[in-house]
Parts: sequence; structure tokens; C-alpha cells
Amino acid sequence: MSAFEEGIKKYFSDEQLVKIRRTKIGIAGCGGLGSNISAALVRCGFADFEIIDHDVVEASNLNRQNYFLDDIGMSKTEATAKRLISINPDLSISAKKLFLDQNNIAAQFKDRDIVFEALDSAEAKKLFLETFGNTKKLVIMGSGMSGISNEKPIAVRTARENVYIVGDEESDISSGLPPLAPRVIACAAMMAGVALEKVLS
Amino acid sequence: MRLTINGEQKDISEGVNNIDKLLDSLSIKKQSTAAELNGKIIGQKEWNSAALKDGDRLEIITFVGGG
Repeated sequence: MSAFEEGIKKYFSDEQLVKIRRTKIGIAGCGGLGSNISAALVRCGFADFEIIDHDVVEASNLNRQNYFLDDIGMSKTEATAKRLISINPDLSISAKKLFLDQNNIAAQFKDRDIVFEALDSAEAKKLFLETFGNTKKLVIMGSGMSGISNEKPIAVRTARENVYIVGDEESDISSGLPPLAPRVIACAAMMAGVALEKVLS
Repeated sequence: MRLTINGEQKDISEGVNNIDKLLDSLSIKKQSTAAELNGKIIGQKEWNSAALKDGDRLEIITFVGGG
């Protein structure tokens, strides 16, 4: 047992930790949302991950994504796996370098209990919901976390029994609002929080 | 015909008889929108054939980019 797993016992009962550890997590996208969601989940004790992203870490990602200077040039899935293991080495992580599209998405996350949508484009988010929305999986999605204004707060909305949408659902990156650490990380943290709450309820 | 759209009751003209026409009539950006009809997500390919009837419950979710 790692020091991390000793430490987390301070906050959860054994019964709660069993529920958390046995939950299988899938994360589509390891950018601003995915890199931060996964770190928050590992810190909550989640230990079984499948992560998918096609991209490599660039300097312009460091403003909000959970990467460091020496990650630049590395694939995001590999860099994420490395960062997660540095929090808790007792993890199962399957890292897949893949661009998700309508031809391959349905074959992903078959055995996952909870799937996170952490993709860039609105079209990809739609595809994610159309693919996983009718399954029994818990689907947690992000929509609207760009810019600096908090006038429209990041909120959690239950779109259907198993689908949660986190964000303000308005602040669109394609309208020129920059993706910045405060709101992106807030959104990612709340997405992880939805999973924790559902697993323990 | 009366539909419940995102929790609100709306009267829709009878000619608007499928999801595709409904989204057009509401001027909703279809490429970033997902639709749920009576508890089931309906993929865009089926929007033309997904007939609407009085009393249907719809959830229309329009996504914005960023992640």
C-alpha cells in the first residue's frame, strides 16, 4: 500500500474507499478538463482509469492543463499517466493515443462505470452524449468554462438521470474567450466532484 | 400540439412534426445540439424520423466548445 493510500484513510471510511477504488473511470480528452479531472479523482482515491487523447503537450497548454515544462512534446496520455502515478503509484491506467470520432467512439470505454467528456469541440461533446447517453454509464460532461468573467457561474445540471453537464453552458471558446486556469480548473474539479458524490451516495 | 421543452410547456404548430423541424423552427444550431425525447437520446441521423406528438417531453442540449 502506498503512502498515499495510508494518507487518504484520514478522510474516508474503509467502506467508502472500497466503493471509490472499484469504480472504473473513463476520460475522453486530457486537456484542460481531462488532465485536471483525473488529478482530482486520483486525490479522491479513484484508482482505475482509461484515458484517451490524440495530442501532445504544448507550451500553450501550461496555462491551465496539469502539465509541467518537462512534459512538453510528450503525448498527453503518457504525461497524464506519469503525473497521476506520482500522486498514487497504486493505479491501473490504460492510456490510449487516439483521436475520437464517429467511427471509433462507440468501441471505447466498454467496461467503464463513469465516463467523462473532456473534449474540445461542441460537435465532439454532442457525439459523446449521443454515444453514451443511452447506456447505463454515468456520463459527466463539460460545457462552458472559457473566459475570465464569473457572471455566469459554473454549475452542475442534471440533463437526464445519468447525464450531468458542468459549466455555464454559454461561454464558448470559439467565440474568442480564452481558456484560462481559474474557470477551467473549477469546472474540472466540479466534474470530479459529481463522480465522487454519485459513487458515495 | 403542446410539448414540454427543457421543462417548459410550449405550443408548437402541427406542421413541426419531427425533431429536425422543431430545431429549425427554434433556430437552434444543430451541429452542436443533442436531443432527448421522452427519456431517450435521439441521434441526429434519426431526427427526421423521430415524430413528435402532443404531450412529448424534449430536452434540447446545445454544447459550447472548450475543454
